[in-house]
Amino acid sequence: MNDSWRFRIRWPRAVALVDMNAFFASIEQLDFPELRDRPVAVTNGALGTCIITCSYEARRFGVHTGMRLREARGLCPDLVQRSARPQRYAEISTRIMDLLTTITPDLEVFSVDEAFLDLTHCQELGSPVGLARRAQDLILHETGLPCSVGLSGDKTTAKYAAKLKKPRGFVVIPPWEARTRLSPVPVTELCGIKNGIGSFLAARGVHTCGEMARLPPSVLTRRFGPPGLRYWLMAQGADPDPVQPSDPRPPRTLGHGKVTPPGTTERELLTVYFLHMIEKLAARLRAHDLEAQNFRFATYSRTTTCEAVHRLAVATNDASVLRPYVPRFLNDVWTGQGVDRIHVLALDPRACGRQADLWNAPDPRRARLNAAVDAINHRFGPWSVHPAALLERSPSPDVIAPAWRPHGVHRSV
Amino acid sequence: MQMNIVNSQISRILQHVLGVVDTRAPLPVLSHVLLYKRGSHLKACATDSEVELEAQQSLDVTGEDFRVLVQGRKFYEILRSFPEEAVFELRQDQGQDRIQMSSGKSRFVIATLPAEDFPVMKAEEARGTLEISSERLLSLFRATSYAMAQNDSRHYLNGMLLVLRDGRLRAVATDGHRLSMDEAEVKSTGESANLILPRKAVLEMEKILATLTDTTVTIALSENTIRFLTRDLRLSSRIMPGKDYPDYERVIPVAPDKCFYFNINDLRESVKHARALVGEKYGAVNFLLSSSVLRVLAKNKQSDISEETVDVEQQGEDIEISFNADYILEALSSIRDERGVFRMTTAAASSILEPGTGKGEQKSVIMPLRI
Repeated sequence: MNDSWRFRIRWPRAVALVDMNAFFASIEQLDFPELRDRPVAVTNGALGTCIITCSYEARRFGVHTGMRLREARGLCPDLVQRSARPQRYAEISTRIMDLLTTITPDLEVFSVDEAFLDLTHCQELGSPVGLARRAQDLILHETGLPCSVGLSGDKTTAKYAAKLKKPRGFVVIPPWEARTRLSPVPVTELCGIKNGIGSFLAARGVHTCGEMARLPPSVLTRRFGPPGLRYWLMAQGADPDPVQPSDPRPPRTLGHGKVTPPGTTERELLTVYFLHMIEKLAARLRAHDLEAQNFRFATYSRTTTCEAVHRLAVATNDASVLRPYVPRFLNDVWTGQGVDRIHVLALDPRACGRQADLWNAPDPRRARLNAAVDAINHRFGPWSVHPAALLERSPSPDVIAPAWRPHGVHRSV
Repeated sequence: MQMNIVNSQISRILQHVLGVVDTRAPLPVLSHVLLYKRGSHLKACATDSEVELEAQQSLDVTGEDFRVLVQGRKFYEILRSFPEEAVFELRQDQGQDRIQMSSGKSRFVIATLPAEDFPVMKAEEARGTLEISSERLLSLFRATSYAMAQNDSRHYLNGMLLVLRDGRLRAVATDGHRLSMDEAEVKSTGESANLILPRKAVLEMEKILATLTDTTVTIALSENTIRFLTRDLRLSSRIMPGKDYPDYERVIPVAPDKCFYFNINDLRESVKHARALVGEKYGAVNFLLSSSVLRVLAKNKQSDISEETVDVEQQGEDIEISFNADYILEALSSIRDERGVFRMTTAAASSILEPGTGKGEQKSVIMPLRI
């Protein structure tokens, strides 16, 4: 195909989405050569039964993410199960994102295995097509991992383009073709428009992106507020959402949760789960020089949520200050119903302790102790030193949250 | 019951008491106002079960006494939609749970609750009384109330400490980051007292006092309650024992060795300019004191900077110290003087802001931000 015209024209906006192919499974095949060309399924721990991702060799048998391992083995008897290694995936992801910043600094990490690259301002260095191709080759060359790339003039069309061809796809939809190319596509195929918005649009006769233009945008803004206008533009290949590098401001919340054995009613076990999450949360706050005054504790089951916000006298990032709130929460708020998941959240964290307090001067010995524990765990690995109460903590591995980012407060598993 | 009343008369007393009504009250009766006529007075009374406020209006009409419990906010909004001089006829027939209200061609039928359901605060025997002018009490509250905590888990900080000793009434408020203190002479009978007045009572009293001139306020102290009495208003509040309050005298610096005297207005303007640049809550303002010049510096997250100099009268060594700009502005606004004095020890210890003249009865203690 003669692409020369694409290299000559300056694009008004150029956005690429780099999407790693079967990311976790590809890393397993990379690290363990004996798994290459074999069907691999990754589960959360050796006891995990749900497939969180699988290699393309497994997908050919009909195995897919979310499928139970037992069912998958029925389709593909030679399926190899691997326990997820979130620390390793995070490490590779960080390396990939760092590599991509050598193409453009305007990078938005969308998830652990996806990133948007704004190439608009790099066109003096090369055409968008050439730069996007360079990103794909760079990742393959430096990490040995395959990825698909979608290139267009906005984030939504780039994301749509990236999923058109996998693995190792490279799909270009120039901005001036985006509207026409999206026209026959169902609106629910676009990232961010799912069943809720889809059924609202279907009720108004809009099923495809092309039909969206017939709808006055005010119909969407009245129902969805300002994002409504974005949905309207997205369907016409003109998503205005900018590629946003990570936000340097402290996050609004910072939390850790964990799935418990289904229907747990044992108070001692829940206490250990909470203490475990408190320890992780406090260490993470300290790692980023943050502290918080309000902490939300919650238990979840399929039908009920028990939650309470505890307001402390002064902001903290010390787990020992938070520990007494666990029995208080379990006694006063938890209804005793079986718990499937627990969560601890720091609300409105802020930069550490600038405002001194008249009555509660922080204990410098506790700060020194926490700093020593953090330093040991940083050097010798997580949980090298921990409170004795956590000897009985859950052995289930950590998982990568959708909010994971390679740098900043969201670099946590 | 039947009576005619001018809108402005009934609106005035309702407006006074509505500040106490909690619109999100869990008990319906707490969103209601007790309206009653006794002799030649019409009274309105509202409570949130902690603070009770009663206002009265003398009438020149006669007629039978009555008591009726109406939804306060709704009743007031109806009255407000009419001209002040409109005359209303109120009527409630025996045994009816509705009150009829008419003016001109308008007629309203409004639901009421049984008057006996209103939770009147139990009147306790006063252990002592004191008298103070409304202006002085208002200045005492205004000089201190800004430092009260709001929704602090240390519940005793969500109020004001009142200490009565040797014919002087001292008010203290703190939220843990700053502390304010002021005292006034009073005419008192009875023993000394030490109590915590809830935040809501303080703020309601400030509103009431701002409407009064040349009035003497009588304060009656009881075991568990306090009552503020004027000719037409009565505010009763539950109190907490003062012994729960932290030892505030401990945090007042004893011998600060660095200080500067300044014009309150000049410093307030400079800090206001810096605050505008910082633009956020908890924003920091830096003070650099050297050679009788105070440099007021600020920097925001976008690294924009502001700098302004204020001429001051310095005593002691140079110092660099950082504060929450809002804390400084509120403390400066509370000072009853044209000149102030800022006393400091180190950049990490509490500082005192006081009027430049006077007997040291008013003080603001502020903890710095760590630089």
